[in-house]
Amino acid sequence: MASQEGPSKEQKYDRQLRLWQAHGQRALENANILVVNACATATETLKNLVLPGIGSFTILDDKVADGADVGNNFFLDHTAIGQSRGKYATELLRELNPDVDGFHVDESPSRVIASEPSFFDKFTLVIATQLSEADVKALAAICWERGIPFLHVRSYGFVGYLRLAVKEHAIVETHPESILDLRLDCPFKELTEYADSFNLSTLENTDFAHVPYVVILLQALQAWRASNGKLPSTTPERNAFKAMVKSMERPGVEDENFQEAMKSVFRACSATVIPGNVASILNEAKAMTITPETSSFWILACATAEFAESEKSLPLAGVVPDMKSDTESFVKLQTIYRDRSHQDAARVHAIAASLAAASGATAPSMDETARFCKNARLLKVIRTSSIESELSEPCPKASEIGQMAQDLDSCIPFYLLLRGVDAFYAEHMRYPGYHLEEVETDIGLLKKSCAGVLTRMGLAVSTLTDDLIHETVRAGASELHTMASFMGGVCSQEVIKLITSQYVPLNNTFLYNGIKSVGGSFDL
Amino acid sequence: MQVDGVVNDWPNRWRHPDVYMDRGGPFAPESFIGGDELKEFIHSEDCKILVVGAGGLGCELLKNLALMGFKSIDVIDMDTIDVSNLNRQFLFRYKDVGKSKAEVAAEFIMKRVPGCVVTPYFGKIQDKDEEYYSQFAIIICGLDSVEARRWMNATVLSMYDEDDPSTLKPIVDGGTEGFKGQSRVIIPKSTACYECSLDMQTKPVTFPICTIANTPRMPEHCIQYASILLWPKEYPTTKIDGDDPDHINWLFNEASKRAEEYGIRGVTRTLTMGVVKNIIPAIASTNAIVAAATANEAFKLATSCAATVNNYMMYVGDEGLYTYTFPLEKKADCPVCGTESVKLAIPATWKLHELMESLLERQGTQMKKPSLACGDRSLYMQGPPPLEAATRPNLEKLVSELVKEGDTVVVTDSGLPISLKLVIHFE
Ligand SMILES: [Zn+2]
Repeated sequence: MASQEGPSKEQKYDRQLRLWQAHGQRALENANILVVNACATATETLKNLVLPGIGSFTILDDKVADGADVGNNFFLDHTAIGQSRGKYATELLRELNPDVDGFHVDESPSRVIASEPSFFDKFTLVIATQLSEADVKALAAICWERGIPFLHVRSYGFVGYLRLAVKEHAIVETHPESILDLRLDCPFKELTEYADSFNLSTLENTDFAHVPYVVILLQALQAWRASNGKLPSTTPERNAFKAMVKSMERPGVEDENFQEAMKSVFRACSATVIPGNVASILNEAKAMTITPETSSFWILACATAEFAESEKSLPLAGVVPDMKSDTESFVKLQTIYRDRSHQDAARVHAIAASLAAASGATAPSMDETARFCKNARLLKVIRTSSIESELSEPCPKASEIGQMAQDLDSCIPFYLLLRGVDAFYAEHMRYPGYHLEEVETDIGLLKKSCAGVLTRMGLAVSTLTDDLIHETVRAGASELHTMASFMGGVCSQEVIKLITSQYVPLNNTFLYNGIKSVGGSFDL
Repeated sequence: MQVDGVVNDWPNRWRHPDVYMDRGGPFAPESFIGGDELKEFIHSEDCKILVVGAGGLGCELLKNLALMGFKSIDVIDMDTIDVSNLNRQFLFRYKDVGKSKAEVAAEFIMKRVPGCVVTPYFGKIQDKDEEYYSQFAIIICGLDSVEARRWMNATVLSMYDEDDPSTLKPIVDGGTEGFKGQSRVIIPKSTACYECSLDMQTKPVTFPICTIANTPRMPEHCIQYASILLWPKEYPTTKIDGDDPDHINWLFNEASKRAEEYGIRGVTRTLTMGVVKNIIPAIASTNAIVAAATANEAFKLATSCAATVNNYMMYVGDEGLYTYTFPLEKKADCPVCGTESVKLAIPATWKLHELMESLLERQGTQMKKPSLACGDRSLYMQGPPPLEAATRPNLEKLVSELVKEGDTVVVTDSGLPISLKLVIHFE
C-alpha cells in the first residue's frame, strides 16, 4: 500500500538510512514477517518494525482480549475488551505507518502449528511469544526445516528472554568503525611507483610536513627490506624499524604525519593475510556446487575464492582513512587504491557472472559485488544451534551452563527458571503464582518442576536457589510493560539486523535481569 | 467503568504492575511495603513524574509510564515535530509536522490511556524554576543535548537539602546513538551525577581550520569550508538553519564546487545535512530499549518493589548483543556534586590568555567563552563590551601578576551549568 500524500521516504527515514542505507531499507520493505500472539511484547516488537517501514506483518492470534491484556498493551484500547486481540492490535499498529501492510489471522496458533506447517512458508521471518514449550519446539522445527529465521521472545516478570534460531545467516556489511586495508607490507605496483615518486630529501619544509604517512612507511619498509630482506617481525626488529622511521623526520618541521606513521608501524609490519574465518568461508564456497537457488553471497564467496587463489590475497577494500596530507597527494593516493579495488571487483564480478551463467543462477549485480569486495576481510556467517538440539536430553551444553551458573551475576539461572516455569505449565496448565493465594503452595511445586528440568538436563538440583524460585513465583506470569517494551526493542533490533543482512545478530540467546538491569548473551 | 463520562479503570487493568506491588519477595528491598496504599500512591498526584524531552525517548517514556500506572505526568519539550522524527517518535503523524512535540504527545497518551493526565509544556527547561521542579517524585531525562542535561542535573542537585529528605529527587537518564544507548540512575549525593561523567561523552568531530581552509581531503572538509568559512562571509547577519532547505542547498552547492575543484568525491546532500546539523542516527528499536530500561528504573524507584540499577547500563547492539552494567564513581572534585575544590597547576610563565586557552581544551567541562574572576576582581569578562575592553589588557599579563598561589579563580561560561572554582598553583 503506497501512501498518496506524504513525505518522501528519504526524509521520513533519514535517521535510519544513515545506518543501513537504501539497499538495507529495500530489504526491509520487501520483508513479510509473522508474529504469533499479540501480547504487549509482540506489539512492542512490531511497533519498532512498522515505524521503520517493514513490508508487511501478519499476527496469528485467536485470543479474546481481557482487561489485563488491554492494561499493558499500547496497541489495544478499552473497546477491545471481549473482542479479538489480534484484530485490534493489527488496526492500531497499521495506523502507525501508511507504508506498511498488516494482516490478522484469527486462528489458534497451536492448531496451525500442529496441522498446517505450509502456512509458515511465505514469511521472511517468524517471531513467537506466549507459546507452550511444545508449540515453540514444533514451530521452531517448521522454520528450521524451511530456513526461516525464528525468534522466541518473552517477558516474564522482571526477566527478559530472546532466542534466535537460524540455520545460516551470511553478513557482508558488519559496519566496523573503520575498514583498514592498505597493503603496506605487500604494495601493488602503482602504489610502489607512487611512493617512489617522493624524494623526501629535496622537499620544502611545508611539503615535507604534508607527505602522507602511507608514503613514509612504504619508503621506510623498502629501505628496511633492502638491507634485511624481510619485514621487521620480532620486537627488537620493530624497535629498530621505528628508530629508522624516526630518523627520517626533519627537525623543526611539524611532525603530525610522522606521528601517524609511528602509530601505524605495528600494522605496517604485520603481513596482510586472509583472516581465518574468511578463509574457511572461502573454502566452504569452493566445495559448494552452485545451483539456481544459491544466494549471491555464496556465488560471490566462490568467485572471491577463485580470485584469492590466483592473487594470493583478497580483493582490495579501496578505502583510505583521512591522514595528514596536502589535497593533491591524498586524492592521488585515494585514486590509486580506488582504481585497484575497482579492477579487483571487476574481476570478481566477471568470475561470479560466469559461475552463475554456468549453473542457471542469477548473477550478482556490480553494486553487490563492490560491497562484497570492500568488506571481504569482514565476512561473517552465523549458524546457531537449533532449538531441537537445545531442548534435547541430556542438554548438550549442560556443563557450560553449570559453570556459568556459579557466577552470582550471571543471567543463566533465569534461563533455567523459565524452563522450570514451562515444565510447571505443562504439568498444571497454569503459571506459578498467577493468583496471590497460590504463591505459597506454588513455591514448592515450582521447586519440583525445576528439579525435574535440572535433572533431565544433567545439572545439579542445587543450581537454582530457593530465593530465585520464590522470586519467580512472585512474578506470577506478569508481563510488565517496561519489560515487554525492552524485549520488544531488543527483538526488533535483531529482526532488522537479520532482514537487512547488515550488522551482527545475536548468537543465540539473550537474557535480561530487569532487577539489576544486567544482561548477558549465551550460546545455548 | 464510566466516571464523569471518562472511562477509568476496568477490572484487571493493572494486573501486571499490581503483581509486584501486592507481593514482597526475596529480591524486594527491606523498605518495600506492598498493598493497596502503594498502588494508590503510584496512581496519585503525590507520585508525579517529569519527563524532560518528548522526542524519541520521550514518546516511549510517556507510554511506558502511563501503562505502568503513573497517572500524573508532566512533559517539557521546546521542539516542534519534523518529518524525520516519524521513523521512531510513534505518537506523531505526518499531519502533526510543525506542531509542539510535548502537546501532541500528551494528547495522544491521554486519548489512548484513559485516566492518565499528561501536562505538556512547549518551551525550555530553563523557563521553569525550583518550585516547579520540586513537585515531582522522579525526573526522567530523554534528551539529546548535553547542555540541557547538565542544566537539569545541576538544578536538581542544587535543590537537595540533606536535612530535608523531601528535596531528594532521583534523576533517571537515557541516551541513544544508532544501535547503542545507555540508561542510568542519579541519586543526588550518593551516586555519580551527570557532571561527574561528562568526559564519557563523545564529542562531535571537528576538523582543524587549516585543513578546512588549505588542505581539504574529505567531503566533510568541503562542507565545513562552506558552512564555517563561506557562509559568514556571504551572509554575515544570518545564522545557518539546518532545517531550511534553501540554506542546505546553498551549502551543498558550495561544498560541491570546492570538492570538484580539489578532485574530492563524496559530497552529497545527505552528508551535507548530517555535517551541518551534526545528525546522530536514531532508530525506533534503540529508543525503545533505552526508554524501557529507564522507565523500569523509575517504577522500581517509585515502588521499592526491587533494587535499582547500580548505576549505569550500556547497551550495544551493532555487533551481537551486549550490555554492560557498572557503578559509575562520584568525582570528589565534581563542580556540581563534589566536595573538593578543583586544583589547577599551571606554569608560572603562563599569561592569562594561555590559561584561557587551556580551559577551552579542558576535558570534561566543554567551555566556550569563559569569564574569569578572583574574589570580587574581574580578570577577564566576555561581556558587556565596556567590561570586556577594560579587562582585555589582562590577557597579556602573567597569571602570577593577577592571582596569588592558592587563590581561587571563579570561571563562568555559557557551557557550564554552574560556575567552576579553580584553586591555582604555580609549577
Ligand atoms: Zn557530580
